[in-house]
Amino acid sequence: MTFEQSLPLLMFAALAVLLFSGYPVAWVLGGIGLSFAFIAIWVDPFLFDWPQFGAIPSRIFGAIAENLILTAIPMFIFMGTMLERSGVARDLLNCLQVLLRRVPGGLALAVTLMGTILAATTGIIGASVVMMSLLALPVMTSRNYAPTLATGTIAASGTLGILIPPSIMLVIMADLLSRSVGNLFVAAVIPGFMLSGLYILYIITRCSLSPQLAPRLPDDMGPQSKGGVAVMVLRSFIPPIILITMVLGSILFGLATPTEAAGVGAFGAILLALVNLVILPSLGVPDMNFEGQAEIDLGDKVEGHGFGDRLVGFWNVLKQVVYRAALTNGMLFGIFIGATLFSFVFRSLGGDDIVIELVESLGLGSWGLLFLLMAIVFFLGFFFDWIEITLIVLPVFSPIIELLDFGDHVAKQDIVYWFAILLAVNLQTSFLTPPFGFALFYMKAVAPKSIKIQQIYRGIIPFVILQLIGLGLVMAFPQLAMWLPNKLLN
Amino acid sequence: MGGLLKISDGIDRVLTAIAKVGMWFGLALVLVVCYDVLSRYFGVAKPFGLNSTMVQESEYWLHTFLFATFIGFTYIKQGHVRIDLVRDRLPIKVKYIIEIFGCLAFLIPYAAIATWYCYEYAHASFLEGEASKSVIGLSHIWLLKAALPLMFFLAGLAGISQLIKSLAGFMGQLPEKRIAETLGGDL
Repeated sequence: MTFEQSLPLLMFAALAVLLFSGYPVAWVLGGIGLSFAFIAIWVDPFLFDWPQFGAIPSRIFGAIAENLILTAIPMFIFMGTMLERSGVARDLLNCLQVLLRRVPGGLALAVTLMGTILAATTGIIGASVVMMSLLALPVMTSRNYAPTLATGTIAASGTLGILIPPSIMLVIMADLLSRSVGNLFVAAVIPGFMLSGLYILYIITRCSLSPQLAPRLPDDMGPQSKGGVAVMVLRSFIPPIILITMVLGSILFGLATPTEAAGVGAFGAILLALVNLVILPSLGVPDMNFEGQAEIDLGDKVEGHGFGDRLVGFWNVLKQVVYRAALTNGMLFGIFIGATLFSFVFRSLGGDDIVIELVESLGLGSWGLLFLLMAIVFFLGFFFDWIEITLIVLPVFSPIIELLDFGDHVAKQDIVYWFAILLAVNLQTSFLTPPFGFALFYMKAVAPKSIKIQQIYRGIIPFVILQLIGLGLVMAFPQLAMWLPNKLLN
Repeated sequence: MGGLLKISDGIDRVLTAIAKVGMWFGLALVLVVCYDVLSRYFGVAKPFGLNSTMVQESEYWLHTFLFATFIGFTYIKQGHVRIDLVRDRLPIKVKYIIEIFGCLAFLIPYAAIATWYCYEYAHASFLEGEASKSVIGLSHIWLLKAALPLMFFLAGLAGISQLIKSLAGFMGQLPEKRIAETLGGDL
């Protein structure tokens, strides 16, 4: 292999090393992309030339700016941030905890359900795990839950978000693989809910067998009267559930594009915040904040409790959400643009051919290749969030995916969807696997000091096993992913 | 160093001012999409000769303006993802060296070259009077394309500001309260 031919591989080597410098991923990607373009011009002007630089803007423009699919992303981020900052998510979690207080492992189940529901909105690992750790972990510790059970449940449920639609990751995967977002969303429904079902089954069984892991909650938690419970459910449970069902349902049944659903969902979240922060308090409906959790940050200028003050508070929250969501979005698209440049140069240098050549020289069959790709992604998941993995690796993998053929096991046209779902489940598992699980670090960073990293590691093991069972099931029975889209959309 | 830090301050103020306006494109996007849905599925009227294609195209215009005004700003707010496994264990001086090297070798050249090529790209569109491929779509595409050079220019400015702060930090002249905003995370 000549030096020119090895350039794409060197690109990856340089990326791998330099990412660990801790310099922002977005800039490292762009910087390496450009450096290698220069090296290529210098080594061999036929490999890469100046006019090709001129193609970069139209690449970025076509792939990222003029793209109505990616337009859904800022709005999904907005919706998730709004539900979080306005206290709607907190109230929903508290409500679930009260409703489930008589079930074995009630708090843990509430967290799982919450993860499943929230999954529908944020879809950024760090954000969901951090939020659930802040909201639920202190409650579970103060109720004497076994730390292993508490942390395992939160980490696993918090990462469900990348799989259960509407997930930002699935939007990006569909875009990179040139497939329909709607179809991919539908394909993820059964595997996603299956995993969440496995968690629930495990928690109930485990807590029934050893009740000391999850002491039953005292009955004085939350409202006592039937009327109080009804108000709580009406106030905190039904509205967000309706919103999320609407968003998901309209995509699944093809009534709206993901972008339209995201916009309506984000607007719905604003309305819920208005109800939660202004209308209900003014009507004297009690707040759901009974565990002494942090108050919603309404900005420093709001002191009074009049209608006007609440309106100002709502406006402050809205401003904060607009700002936070734009920051998260900036982070995501920074990487997106860097990765677009990186893969453009990688391809121009013949990277695709080299990857295919390498893969063919291994002489693996389709199954062998599938396992190889899964192993690579699993390994990468130790160090990187899905954003980097998906954006950097998927463009490189896509020509290999085209080569795969599983005969009767998966229909040819279904392979890409099935692969994407496997990838999603695999990534989620990888985020949970000690010692380098990404989600575990996030959790440790915000957990109470009394929680040891060893407890987090031990707590996650049963969930990793459940994940592997889930992954194996989707591999063995592609129908788990493909039955629903084929049924609904054809 | 003091003079340079003033430049860094000035850059940060410009980036902040632009981001404070730019962040509202996100809310505008939400509202436009809702309006689009209402008018298409529920028959709400479209005034001023607007049509559905225009509304939909304006959605990705807003999306583009949103990220274009924020990518540079995200850097000075330390919002960009870093792989912190190794960096967390490094002494603070080394962290500054990484920032200095990163700005000089990666971000600033990347931003400079991309600004230039994106400027030419947008300029060509302006000269051509390019309009949407769809006959009834939006005209003046150059305005949208101009977001790209703006974005890279702002990212480059953010790089210069960060470079100054890191240099000052390395020489021990960075005010205490600005250390966290330069290196991010909990120090």
